[in-house]
Amino acid sequence: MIVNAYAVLTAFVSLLQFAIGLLVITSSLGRRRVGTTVDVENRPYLLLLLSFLLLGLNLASWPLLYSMLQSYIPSWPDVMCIYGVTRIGTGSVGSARHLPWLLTTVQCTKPLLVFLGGGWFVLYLANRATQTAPLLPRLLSGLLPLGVVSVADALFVGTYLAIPKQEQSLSVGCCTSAIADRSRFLPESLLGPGPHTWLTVVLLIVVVGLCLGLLGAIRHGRQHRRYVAGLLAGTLVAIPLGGLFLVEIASPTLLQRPHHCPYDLVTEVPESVLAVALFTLGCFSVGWAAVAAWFCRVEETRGVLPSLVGRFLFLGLFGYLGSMIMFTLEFSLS
Amino acid sequence: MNPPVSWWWAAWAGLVTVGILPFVGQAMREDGRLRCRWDGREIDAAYRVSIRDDLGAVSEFCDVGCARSWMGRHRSMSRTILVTDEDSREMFDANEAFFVRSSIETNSVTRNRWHVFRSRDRAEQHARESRGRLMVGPDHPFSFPVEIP
Repeated sequence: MIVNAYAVLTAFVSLLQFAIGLLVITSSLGRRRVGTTVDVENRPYLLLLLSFLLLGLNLASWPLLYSMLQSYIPSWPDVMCIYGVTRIGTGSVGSARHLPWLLTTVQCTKPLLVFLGGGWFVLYLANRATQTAPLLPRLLSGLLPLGVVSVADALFVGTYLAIPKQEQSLSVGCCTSAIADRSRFLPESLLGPGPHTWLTVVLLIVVVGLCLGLLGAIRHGRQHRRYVAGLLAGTLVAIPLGGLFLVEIASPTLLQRPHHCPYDLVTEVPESVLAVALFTLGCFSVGWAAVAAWFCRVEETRGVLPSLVGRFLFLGLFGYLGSMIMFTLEFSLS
Repeated sequence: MNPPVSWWWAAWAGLVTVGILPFVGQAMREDGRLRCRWDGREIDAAYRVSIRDDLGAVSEFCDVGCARSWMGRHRSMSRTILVTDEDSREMFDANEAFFVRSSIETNSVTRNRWHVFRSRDRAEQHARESRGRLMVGPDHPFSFPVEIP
């Protein structure tokens, strides 16, 4: 176990996530059906306050995880970046063998938590704009997946922190130990050697198409479910393409090295992290707009829904455009 | 829903701001320090390796190990390799150099154990003192094909 300021802070935040997540789950499961106006006025305040706190903790824990991993780098002489930290435990026979998959899982649950939290917040905004809170049952039901994922995420992070980071290998000789293999700390290309220009072209087509689609939705009020579903489908295509682009094209070009390590961008080209964050914002915003279009449609929200969906689509357009501008400029300058 | 004009103005301002950031970042990174083409670490002048390819492009590396790793991925090029004599810190052609692989690490992160000398006597002395071996013939670090260490 490595104890430093970031590890202690991460442990504390995870503990809070775990406790509040459990409270949210039990409150969400154990509630009586919200029926009368009095119920609506009296019951959910504490639960909503706890939920907002959980949302904030989940959001803060995402960058905190990477700060902690960055702080772990000097702990091993071979490790040069966060990628190396994520590989610690590979090939080990002790409890450290669980470290890589725990980190992979946590790196998936963090964005999932932010998306779920944002989706829940969209429901909250739509509900707040109504007179009789018709979306309150959905709002309370939506807390259940948020709480479950928060608790699971906190458990994974806690386990990762608690496992000793000492690698143990089977004795296979002084020079041929698998653990001593330095190449495992070098991030490799996922698609193999080659320029992979097609990836840039395809991603560009998808993102430009999404931007035009979003612009059309915003300017001409095309916000019916089928149109938003099309935008969501485009986003689902853009997410893996964006991830591949980051590893295969952006990292080696911006770092001017043969490494395919997006983690290096955090320290070496920090502004590119904003470009990645804007791309994520673009993807998530389209998802949140879809949540609004699907789950917030009741009689009372008919008047406010177009504006709400439009706001998130606008945010999505801003995210995609900002990301595209930043990456284009970064590429032309490097 | 057509957003209010103020939204578009705010979005333009935001996009202009994010458009400026790459220029700011680039300007801040131009600190003049030499960095390794393989791992991005700052180059120690005592172990510097420089490779010039056919097109005249120069790649700098922090040690022999990094240069070998990089060459392992760029095998087809012909190139001129300059290495640094550990004693005098002068750069000279790798064909004239004597390489020793010893127990002494020059860098705790890269764990480079290659040492470069201009004089054979000095190389042999280092090999004796540091439980190392003079690497000649097929053991020469830049004999091809280069394998990733």
